[in-house]
Amino acid sequence: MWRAAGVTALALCLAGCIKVPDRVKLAFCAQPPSANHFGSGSAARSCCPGPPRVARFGKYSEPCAR
Amino acid sequence: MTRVDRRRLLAGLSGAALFGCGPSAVEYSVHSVFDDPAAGAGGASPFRTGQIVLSEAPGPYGILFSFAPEHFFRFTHSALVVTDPDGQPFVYDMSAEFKPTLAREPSGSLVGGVRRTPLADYVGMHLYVEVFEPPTNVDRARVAARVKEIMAQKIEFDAAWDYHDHSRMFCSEFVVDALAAGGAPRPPLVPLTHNPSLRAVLTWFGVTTVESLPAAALPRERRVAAFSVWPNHACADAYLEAKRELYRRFTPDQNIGNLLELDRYDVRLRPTVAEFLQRAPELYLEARSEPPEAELRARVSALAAEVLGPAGGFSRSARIE
Repeated sequence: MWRAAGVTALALCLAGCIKVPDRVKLAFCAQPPSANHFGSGSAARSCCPGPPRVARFGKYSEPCAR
Repeated sequence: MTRVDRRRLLAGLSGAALFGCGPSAVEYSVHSVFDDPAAGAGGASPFRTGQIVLSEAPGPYGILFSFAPEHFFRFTHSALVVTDPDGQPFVYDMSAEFKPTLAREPSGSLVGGVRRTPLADYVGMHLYVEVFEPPTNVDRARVAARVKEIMAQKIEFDAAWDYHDHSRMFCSEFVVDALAAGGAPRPPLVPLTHNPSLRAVLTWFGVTTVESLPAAALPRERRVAAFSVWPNHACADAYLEAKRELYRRFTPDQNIGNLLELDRYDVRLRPTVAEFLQRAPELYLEARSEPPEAELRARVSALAAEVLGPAGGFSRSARIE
């Protein structure tokens, strides 16, 4: 498949160009320990913090909170 | 090239020697971990035009793309050897890099095409590389001619992995196209994952096709060489077995986020997964011979249970292709 040498260049993209849709944010959430086969379940708390919060440019819902 | 000559080729790679051009220098530490006794007889170079190069690069993308096919494949990138007129081997591969653009999705910022890299430098960019002979009776001169033609046409990298549209190409499509010009058969395509979370991520990266051609699905013959950042072949085998263990645990109900996390616009391995992949090859740092496959699998599986948690009753078929 394709390789991403120098992938950190992606992070150099000017803020505001690449948008991460909610479905992608949700895909990158870790599941809770009981359903997680990779021992990373505790990270789910930081990924899915709970109720929607107000972000700088308007209302922003964390995908796991919905 | 004899075994000794091979070592000379890689002399700058072993040990932590510096390789550089101009003011910049890149530090490589790579070991030749397999020499085919049948290759390079009589002092001839074992590297010939038309040979297939399969490789694993460091970082999270090798893991992400390992999970895309419906079957497990050990490698995620493929390339071809083409020797120059004085016999020096170069690796030609179709690859891409992220470049800052105004695109709103990653695929729009992926820019690439055919790249030509000296074999030694190419090896130094990877964790593990294997070189194979192509299918028998391939016309190597025609393969080389097709590679040069694709390069001259400036065919761009295909972020969508669309095998049916040859106006752009991805890595294994490029290799198959060039080998087919030399008479090699085209392999069947492989279905891609139905995992909803991975599908969402692949779609974000521009991959919407339902089948494609994984790098290690390429038909090939005898292995002629292998190079590894680890000191012996057993370490590399343990790393690839660790990948297989991750694949086996990635059942349809799993989120890709259990292994990878978004870091702004980039992805990185979750700490437990990174630790597992780091420690698996270290199981065999002192190995003097190839361990039996059953023993290697048992040790990697035990490490997985320690770092990732017990496997329990879940398991996905991960037959090695």
